[in-house]
Amino acid sequence: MSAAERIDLAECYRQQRTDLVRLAFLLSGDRELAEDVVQVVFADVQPRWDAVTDARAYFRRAVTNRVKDAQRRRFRQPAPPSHGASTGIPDVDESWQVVRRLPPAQRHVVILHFYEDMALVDIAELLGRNPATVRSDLHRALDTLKGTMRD
Amino acid sequence: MTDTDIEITPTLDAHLRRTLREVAATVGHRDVTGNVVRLVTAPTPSGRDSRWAWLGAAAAAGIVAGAGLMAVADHDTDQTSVPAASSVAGGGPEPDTFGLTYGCASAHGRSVVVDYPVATVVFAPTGSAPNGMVLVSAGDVVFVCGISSDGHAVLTDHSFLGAVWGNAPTAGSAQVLEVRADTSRSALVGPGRILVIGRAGAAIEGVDLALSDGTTSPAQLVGGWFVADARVPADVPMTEARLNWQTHSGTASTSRIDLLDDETDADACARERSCVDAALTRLLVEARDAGRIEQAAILADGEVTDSERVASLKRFADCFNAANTGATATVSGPDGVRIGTANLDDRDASERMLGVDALCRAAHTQYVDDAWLLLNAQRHVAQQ
Repeated sequence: MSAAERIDLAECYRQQRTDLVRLAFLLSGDRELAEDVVQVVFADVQPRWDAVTDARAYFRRAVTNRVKDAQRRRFRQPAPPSHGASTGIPDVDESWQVVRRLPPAQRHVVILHFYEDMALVDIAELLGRNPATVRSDLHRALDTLKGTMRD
Repeated sequence: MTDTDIEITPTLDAHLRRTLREVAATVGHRDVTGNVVRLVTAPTPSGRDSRWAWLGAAAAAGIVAGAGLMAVADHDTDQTSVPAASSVAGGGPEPDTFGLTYGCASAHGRSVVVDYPVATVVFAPTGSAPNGMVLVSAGDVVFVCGISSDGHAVLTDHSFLGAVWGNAPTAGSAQVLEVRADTSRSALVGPGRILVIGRAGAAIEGVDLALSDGTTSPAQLVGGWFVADARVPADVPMTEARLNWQTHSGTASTSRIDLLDDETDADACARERSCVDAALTRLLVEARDAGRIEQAAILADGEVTDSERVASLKRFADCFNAANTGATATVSGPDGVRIGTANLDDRDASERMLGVDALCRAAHTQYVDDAWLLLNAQRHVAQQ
């Protein structure tokens, strides 16, 4: 990518911040964490920005990994706070509560598959997990969701 | 592996996608009041100076307090210091992921109004590194400041942080910031730059950043937040800058900007610290009196230095103790195992601090590599 073709990091921040915060929020269920994660990801990338060839893929991976790390460090934490996620649409809010309560590994697969439209093999690669495990997680998540969501 | 062998009905598939879209859309369209300003100064190419400052301010349910936090990351030593972290929320402790929470009442869906101005200030003398970067998001409003296009550094290895003091438009309000800088320069004169970011408050109609050479730069006011940004000409003292406030009622006032530098302005740092302590204490007292909390917690990230962790824990414990006639501090490791308990009800402050100090150091020794220390200052309710 030539310099002329490169998206300025600041412009990238303007363009992608909201989308990335949304992704981080879906992954974590926590707005404050989502905003922190995105800020840190952007701060971290600056020194190596020249080496980033696919900004969208880079940020998606970085945000996902940061959320995973953060959740790993959140020992003894209960489920993420539910405030701030009300859409005012009853069936959507009910379904979101079900998604939120999924184990993190399952929730991440669901979010990346149904929100980011990622193929399972790509999700496995992004999460650094065995593809069969990712598939199994999605199966389990869907079993849970089928039993509780209005279908 | 293919995705097609995942059994899902079209209805469930569509509903899931809609649910996630609708929920995601709630992020980015909210009231910014009570939110947190995040200021991220990205590392300079030398990698020596990365600063993150969080400025939090909130007032809710009768609780008025504010505190700002800052972490200074030193990439040379891979150490990150987090001077303070504390949290008191309506529902109890709510530590955040990075070990930083805000000494303010969390919104928790309630309406939060901040009527006093709070601000954080970055002094940035022109230097040799031309591509510093400041990312600021105030609620949903995103400011990208300081991408240098003219060869001047925005932030260099010698940037400074300051605080706003003086006559704020709302009497008695506290501009509480916990900020530090690893400053090494003593002369703060232009050329350079001053960036002020903060809450404007509902009463504020306009804010100007005035330099001692008579020039003024109006601040951007968006959604209750303001960003004032001024280039400082050569030889103009940066620390003589002022913030001029105009309120809707027609009154005007001026705040001065002080450099926060441990070496040259220790008194200011002490005042800051005192304000933080006072705010925390007030918060705790009011929360306790209202029966909103039974405990408050503080988390110290394993990456912080021992001295910073201990200092933070001690200070918090002291604040908590000041708000409670009887309290114990319990320190637990990341596995939840209780390490020890210190009695904070000792009448002798030095004895009390010695106890907490020993406790924290013991905890740090035990969890030196991966320590999230949880200090639970549990109110010890006297049964009378």
